[in-house]
Amino acid sequence: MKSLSDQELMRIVQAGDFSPASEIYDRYSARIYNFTYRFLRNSEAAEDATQEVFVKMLKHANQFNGEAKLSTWLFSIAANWCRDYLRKGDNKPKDSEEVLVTLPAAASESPHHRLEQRENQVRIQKALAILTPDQREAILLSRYQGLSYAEIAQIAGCSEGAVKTRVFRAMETLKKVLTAEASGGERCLTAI
Amino acid sequence: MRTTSSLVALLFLALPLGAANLTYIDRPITKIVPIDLAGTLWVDNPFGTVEISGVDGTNATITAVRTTIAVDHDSMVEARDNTVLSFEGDVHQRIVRTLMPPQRSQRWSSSVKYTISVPRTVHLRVATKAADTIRVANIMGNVTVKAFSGTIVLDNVNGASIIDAVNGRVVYNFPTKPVSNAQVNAVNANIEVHLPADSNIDWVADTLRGDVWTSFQQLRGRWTGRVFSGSLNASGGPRLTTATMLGRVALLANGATGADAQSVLSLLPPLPAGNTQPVVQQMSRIQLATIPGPMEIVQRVADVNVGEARGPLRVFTGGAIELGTVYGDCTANASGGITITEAKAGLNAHSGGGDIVVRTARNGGTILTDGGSVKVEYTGGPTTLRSGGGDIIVRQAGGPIDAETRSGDITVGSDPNQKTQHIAAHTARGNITLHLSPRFGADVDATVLTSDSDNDAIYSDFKGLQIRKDQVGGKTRFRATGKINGGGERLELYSEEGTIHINAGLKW
Amino acid sequence: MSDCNLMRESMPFLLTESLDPVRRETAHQHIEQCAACGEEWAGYRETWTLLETLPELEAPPRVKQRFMNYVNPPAAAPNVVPFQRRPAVRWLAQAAAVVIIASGAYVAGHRGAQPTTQVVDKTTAATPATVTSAMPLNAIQPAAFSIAESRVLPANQISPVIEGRPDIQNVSFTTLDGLNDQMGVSFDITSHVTVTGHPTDKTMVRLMRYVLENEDRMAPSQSRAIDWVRSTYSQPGNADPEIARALANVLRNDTHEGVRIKAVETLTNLPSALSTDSREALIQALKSDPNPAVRIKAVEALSNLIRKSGQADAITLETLRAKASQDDENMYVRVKAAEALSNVRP
Repeated sequence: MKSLSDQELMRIVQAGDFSPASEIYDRYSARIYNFTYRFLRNSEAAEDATQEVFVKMLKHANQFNGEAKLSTWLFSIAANWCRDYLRKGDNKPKDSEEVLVTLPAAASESPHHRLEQRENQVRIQKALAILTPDQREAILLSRYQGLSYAEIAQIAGCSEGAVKTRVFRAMETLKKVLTAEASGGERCLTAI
Repeated sequence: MRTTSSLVALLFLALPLGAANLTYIDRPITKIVPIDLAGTLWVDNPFGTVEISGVDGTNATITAVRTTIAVDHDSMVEARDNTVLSFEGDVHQRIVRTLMPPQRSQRWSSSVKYTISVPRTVHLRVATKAADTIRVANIMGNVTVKAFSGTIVLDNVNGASIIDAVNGRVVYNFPTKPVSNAQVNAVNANIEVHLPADSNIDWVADTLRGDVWTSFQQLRGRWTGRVFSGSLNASGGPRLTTATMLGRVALLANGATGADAQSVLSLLPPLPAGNTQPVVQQMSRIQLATIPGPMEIVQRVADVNVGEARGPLRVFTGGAIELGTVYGDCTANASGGITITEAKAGLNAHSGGGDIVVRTARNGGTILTDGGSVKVEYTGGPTTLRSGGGDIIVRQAGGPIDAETRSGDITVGSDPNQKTQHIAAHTARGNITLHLSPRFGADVDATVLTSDSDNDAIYSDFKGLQIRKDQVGGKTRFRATGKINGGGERLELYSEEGTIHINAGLKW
Repeated sequence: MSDCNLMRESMPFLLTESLDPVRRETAHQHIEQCAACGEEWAGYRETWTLLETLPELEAPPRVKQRFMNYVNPPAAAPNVVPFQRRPAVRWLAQAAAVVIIASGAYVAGHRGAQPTTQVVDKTTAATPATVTSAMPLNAIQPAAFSIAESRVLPANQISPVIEGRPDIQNVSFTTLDGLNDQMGVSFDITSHVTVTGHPTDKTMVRLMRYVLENEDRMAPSQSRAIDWVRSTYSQPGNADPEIARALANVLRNDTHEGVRIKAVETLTNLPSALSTDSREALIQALKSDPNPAVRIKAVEALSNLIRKSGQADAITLETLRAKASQDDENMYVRVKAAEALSNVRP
């Protein structure tokens, strides 16, 4: 399985054989989880999202066009799930939780270092939270998942130009927030 | 009963598996399904043959024969289980598919031959990977064929057609004058179009190789760059577009053969005024042992290899260049790499991104690459070296050096016979290393701009340099100036994110 | 001034995508010459780098379990109790306690391990240590010495002699409440370590990978590292897929073309059949690396691969096909792509 390409694995799935499911999960679960977690800032929701993405991958395998990239398709499913989740209104990020889950598990670093790391993570998460969902989606897919603008446009269902604008605005905002704080500027964490 | 084509299929399939294989040819499966006269038939058959003919009637008749070859019985079972024929769709769209695992097995292979008849007006979409043959005959609907390899033949197809082929061969046979547009995109496939001599078509031919062939003396048209646009008999008819990279394209009258074809470049040479295209036959490789006098070689894609050029030589090509000894001024311009053993006179070498290697440039010269490395063993005159991103190495600089790279290391060795030499080296990311003879004298001005503030960045075996350190825009700048061995020509060295080593001693 | 506005708009794209070489070059030149834009650019780069520090998480194992249960529903298992994550507060308190305890605890950990919600810590008996020595390398065990570890050392078990004038930085002090008036001094210390072994030792491979992938901190060493990797790991018997993967990452991510060129050259010379990861990196490089040398070497590498095996997957074929017909591509790349396709056996 490991030597087969994504396309090859999907063709097997499309033929009704689910044996590649585990390999596909292993290849992409971390990326999907990271994306959904950073987008939603809620680990339980991210777990649900991740599981759903792969279940849908199997259920709707025939919708996958063999020539496209599997990652783009999986991220589309994930992005849609996240959007639906947000739309359902009551679903808020769990602020208090985020700090704990992202600490390194092995207690191998000095408290001073860990504190600084934790502070940075909080700053970044908070900065990401200021972005609109569209901007956050675009910057997460671009910066952390390395997708091209064309791919992001496909996932977000908009034009490449719109993606570029979202990324640009996201970077502007992030730059303002993160570098202002670093240089001791005003702590302005509400919408800019 | 095995037909010839099945035998061919067997031979073809037998190749990867070797001797003593089991072969199984299924009994033909036939399906007869109604299909709309303006409906579409899709055929997706990765390996095998597809033959479709247009007939009267309102049904599509599909006959499929599956052939499997395997090394043993278990593999045979696996092969047959994994080669599944699927018939789907409705009266508007019929879809015939051969479902196979994408990875080819070492122990078995299978192929399917489809023989299909459909109403003439139906549209066709055929996709294969490695087909033997795809043949479409007597169809008035639109035809699209996508294949990786194999022979694609369209006989008497009157609807619009689009063919997408990588390798193999594409053949159009028009017994009557074409009435619809036809488009063929191929990478390596050869294209042959046979038409009645009185056909009216517009023809646009785009070929990287640079020439197309025809048996029609009455063809008219002109070249724009490497694209020919013309017309046969009168213009305004259906358009034939052939785009191929390296394949051969021929437009032939019915009854004529390839041997009757003439190069369109020679039939209709490009206009001289304002046209930069050479009137030269395009090759894939040019190999000349000796050139007695001045010569200019201009090619689009060829790799050019010249042993010895007695006079000045100019080579322009999209391929790679390899030259032995050039006695006259040498100009080498390639998209790929350039290797020159000896340039006895001037040298101007430019690569679009490949590596450039020069053993000897007696009079120096200009050596540029948009992205590879530049290596010179010996240069005897002023030499300018540029790279868009690779290393620059000059083993023995008998003349002034001006070297610059966007991102790579620069290494220069001085000539043991020279007490001083001007060397300018600039790298936007990388190290600079000079190997100078111990008595080499120079005025040194070396700067390193780096994020690594802790380590020294400039090292010199020579005394006489003062190193200063300061901060510039968040980075640390080390600057070493002074005279070594009493001074001499200027050594101007600049590196970012690297180190500068000035070594005494010519052994490296 | 409108130039500056245009430049500012291009800046995020310089970071996120390969702009075509001309625009990229123009942008960089402007940034170098314009102080205001230079500062803006510095800000963007800083932000970009900071974003990188957000750690990568792994989906908890239970997600895969639930998914696999969907794929292969298990027979009824009456005694299965779903895994409960530890309440966060208690876990945090435990972690804190491990760090701060000042009597007799020696904790060895692995930096950079994937964070999970299970805490893994092993305690072994404390051993006396001087501040400057490096411990010998043990065989790889879960509690083996990590070259980049943090240690908590009880003062009464360390030699009071500090030898060799070690470089100490980032000193901080912690007071520990309610535990016998103990205090803690934390610092970073530079020590020089030489790791010896066979190129195929996992530790060696990991170390090489770390050097290759950590560009900003390794500036001049990285090129040397790649050169060294090429000569060592292209020898038969030394191939390691992790090295190939590290090179693939360098090829994908490094902003400096010289380094990417070296990485792609080295990838081509590795004897192991190229992993999917490296093949993907080559394809990506062929598709969109702005430097023509990288694209040339990538297409040559893919071409060799095809010539040897006669096969290629659909993505490679599609990329080669697109390259062959791409009008503005380097001609040599186009021809090599077309030739590579002609070598594909059905």
